[in-house]
Amino acid sequence: MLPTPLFLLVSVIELAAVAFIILFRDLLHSSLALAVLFFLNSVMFLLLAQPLLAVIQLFILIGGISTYMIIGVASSSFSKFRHGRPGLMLLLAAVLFAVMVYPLSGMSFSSIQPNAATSSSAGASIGHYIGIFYLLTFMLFAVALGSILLFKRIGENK
Amino acid sequence: MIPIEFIMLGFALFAAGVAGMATSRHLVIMMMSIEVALVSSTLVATAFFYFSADGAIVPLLFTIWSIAAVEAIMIIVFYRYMVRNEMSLDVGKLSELKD
Repeated sequence: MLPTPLFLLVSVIELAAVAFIILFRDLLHSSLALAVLFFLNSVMFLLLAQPLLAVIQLFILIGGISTYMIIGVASSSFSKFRHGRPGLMLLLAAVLFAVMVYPLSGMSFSSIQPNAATSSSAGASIGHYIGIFYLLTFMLFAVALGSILLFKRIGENK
Repeated sequence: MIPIEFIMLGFALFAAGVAGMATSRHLVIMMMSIEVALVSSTLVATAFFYFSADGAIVPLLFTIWSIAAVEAIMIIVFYRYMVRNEMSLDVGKLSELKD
């Protein structure tokens, strides 16, 4: 099965978001990159034809964890210092990836069929509303970020 | 058929998360890297179990998301405490505290 262009686009942005989490010096920026990662991982669940899990993940990770983390980080002073070693990180990630992929190299998955008991039928009923969920999440997230930036600007003016 | 590209992406995310945890000296970034590894494990688990296993994956996913939520709370509590007490977030300096 060849990866679709949407999968390639989302996966590239997802990997870039992980790199930005680790390489950004400002914690707020890292938190935003983590929120982007959560959002794109939810899109990956959609591409796996699991809309119910995608929406649950959207609620828990974006609605709960990311909002809490961004507000928690934004309400304190930011700490900035050079903390990462990008070359070493890239090398270590490449070695780990090779170690994990190597056992899969000789395996064949073509005979495995989708599991009927846990297939996408459970989430089929909400499939029509998935766009509304994502739009609502994006709007609420934008409102939260705008509020933080507004309060930060008000605090700087005082 | 198992979507192998999703598993590869999950492996890449997990490797990046573990590498970030191992190479970063920032306490909060280290814990965020653990979040990345947890999220990647949900992707791999879904790709594997929904297409190959008979068991339900939802309890496992909820367990992983609960761990991620608890870890996010820990991150912010540690961060606020250390900023308030003007402690350094560099784990290299934190490890010197025991001397």
